[in-house]
Amino acid sequence: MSSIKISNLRKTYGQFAAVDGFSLEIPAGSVFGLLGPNGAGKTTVFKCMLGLARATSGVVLFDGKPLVPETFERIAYVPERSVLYEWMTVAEHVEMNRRAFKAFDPARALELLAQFNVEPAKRSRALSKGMRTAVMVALAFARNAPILVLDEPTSGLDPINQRHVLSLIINEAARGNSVLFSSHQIGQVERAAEHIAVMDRGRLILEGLVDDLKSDRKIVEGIFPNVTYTLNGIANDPRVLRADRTERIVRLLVRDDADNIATMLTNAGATGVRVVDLNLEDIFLFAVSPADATADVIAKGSS
Amino acid sequence: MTYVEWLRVARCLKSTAWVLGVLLVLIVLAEYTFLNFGSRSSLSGVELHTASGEIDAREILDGATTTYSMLPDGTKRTTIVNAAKGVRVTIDDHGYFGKHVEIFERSVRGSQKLIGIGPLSFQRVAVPGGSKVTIDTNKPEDFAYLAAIATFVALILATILGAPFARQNDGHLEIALTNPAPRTTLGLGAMLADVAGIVAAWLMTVAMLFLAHVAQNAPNYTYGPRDTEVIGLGFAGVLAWYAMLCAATASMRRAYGVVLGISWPIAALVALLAKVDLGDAPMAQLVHWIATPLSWIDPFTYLHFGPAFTVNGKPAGSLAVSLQNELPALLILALVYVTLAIVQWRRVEA
Repeated sequence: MSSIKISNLRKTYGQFAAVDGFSLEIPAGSVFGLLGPNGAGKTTVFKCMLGLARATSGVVLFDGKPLVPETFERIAYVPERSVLYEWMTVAEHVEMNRRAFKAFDPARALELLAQFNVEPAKRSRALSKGMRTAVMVALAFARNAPILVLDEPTSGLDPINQRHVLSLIINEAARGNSVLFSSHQIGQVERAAEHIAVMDRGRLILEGLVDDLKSDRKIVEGIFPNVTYTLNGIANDPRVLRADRTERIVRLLVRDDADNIATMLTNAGATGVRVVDLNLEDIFLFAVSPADATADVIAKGSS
Repeated sequence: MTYVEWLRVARCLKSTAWVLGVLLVLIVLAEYTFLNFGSRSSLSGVELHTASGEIDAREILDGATTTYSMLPDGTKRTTIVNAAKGVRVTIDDHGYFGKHVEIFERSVRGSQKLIGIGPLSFQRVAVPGGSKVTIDTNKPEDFAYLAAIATFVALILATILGAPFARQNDGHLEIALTNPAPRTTLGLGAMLADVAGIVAAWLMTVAMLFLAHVAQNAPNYTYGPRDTEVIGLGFAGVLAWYAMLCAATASMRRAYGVVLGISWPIAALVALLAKVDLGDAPMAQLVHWIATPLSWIDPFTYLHFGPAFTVNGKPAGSLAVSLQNELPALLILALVYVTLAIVQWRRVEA
């Protein structure tokens, strides 16, 4: 069963579509990473999902039911920017959550704050950006909510605390809870998420299990003896997602069966054919900016 | 959100308590200075009157005969007679229960006057051969006097607290909107917290004024149906004012402070322009024509501001004393503004 099911979500501001026909299912008990360049619409998706902004159209279901205020007993949300009250202490924020949410565990919150080295007696205005993020993360994880929606939950944190947040995310999944989070740090997503979705310009452009995406996609690179070579239709093969030619070198982004494509390239006369594995960053770059990604991957392969 | 508003209210009340505390000290000091100043304490009260320049206490004492006596009820009577200047002062000192001073002046030809400020009363009447000034320092005081001043303080607090939704919209909406309670409940809860704070400020002001009074004089208050009306109208006025500010700022994210800041002069101006006769000039008529309908929705129209004085027994302007049809008007305004505020806030997006 899906924890969250988003169907054909659309949000427009005048003529501009911030989110356009976005559909996604987040399986129960999974960690789902949402990636996208700045302005892709990730935060807008979160806001529309949670009713913080009114979707122009589309349906969002949590455990099969539409969002109502009571649903927030089951959803913990960390916004991308600090929403803490500057004049309140961290301890008062803890108390605020204790009063608002039945399942909130103040002891757990204080324990997490201690792990992040945040003093509860401090006022929010005295905290750094990273500390504020840490407070919001601690409050969210102390909610004992089965669904966590985290918008850039490591923003401003130092590498140690970033790793700590990732551990918390993974632990939540181990407890059977679902986590949907966005991050610009693809390495973090790769470490924590089983599923990813990539957004660009308000649209979902790629989605799947991280392992599948990584094993599915390869770069096949071949060098020809001279520039007057022909690919014999290899570029039109449905398994080839993209082909780039630079003088004697051809680079192919291939889905499934890269070895076979490599053989085909050899048969076409290429020498020095090789298959390059992709990491999640490559996949992301291919999805949102194919030209840059190809150059980057080839450079990496050459080195 | 309600908890946050309670915290905000608590902080506001703390500041209010400090201000009222300082005011209390100042009032007590002023009263003490007025009632017990120096060696001529028996002349206190007369001193104030001399501020008008009609009698100088030193002139009275210069060449005067002073006698002291004790009346059967324990009152200390001081009689000062200055035959040369034609002045006779009788001071009945009831101690904690105040003083009654009568000053006969042969030479003064003043018009009749009656001024009341809280428990203080000054009355001058013409008598055969001169005029008589009567000063009482602990006259029975209408409770409405306290209520009116408290209403003024409550209005200030209502203005300070009057943007609970805008404060939420300004970077904290995610907290409110991911709360497992309907927005209407959250909004009403926040407003309720503010109103409770406003009522608390009202009570604190009444307490401060009471303490200031009992520090020098025995409590001597009267309470009648008019006081209830004044209190009721005052609360309705403050509620309508607070609700109006909430409605005006409910969909704002920034600059709500400007709205709160200019609210008093604008509301007072609208109420004034609608009431005064601006003349027959076309521009004046236009201003009046615009201000009149606006004044109907302006709570200040139904409240009156000014010093709580009585002159010749009539209010020379007082807080919350207009009592005829204002109460229902203010309650309707409050209800409409609360509804408007909630409806607007429900539409705000993060």
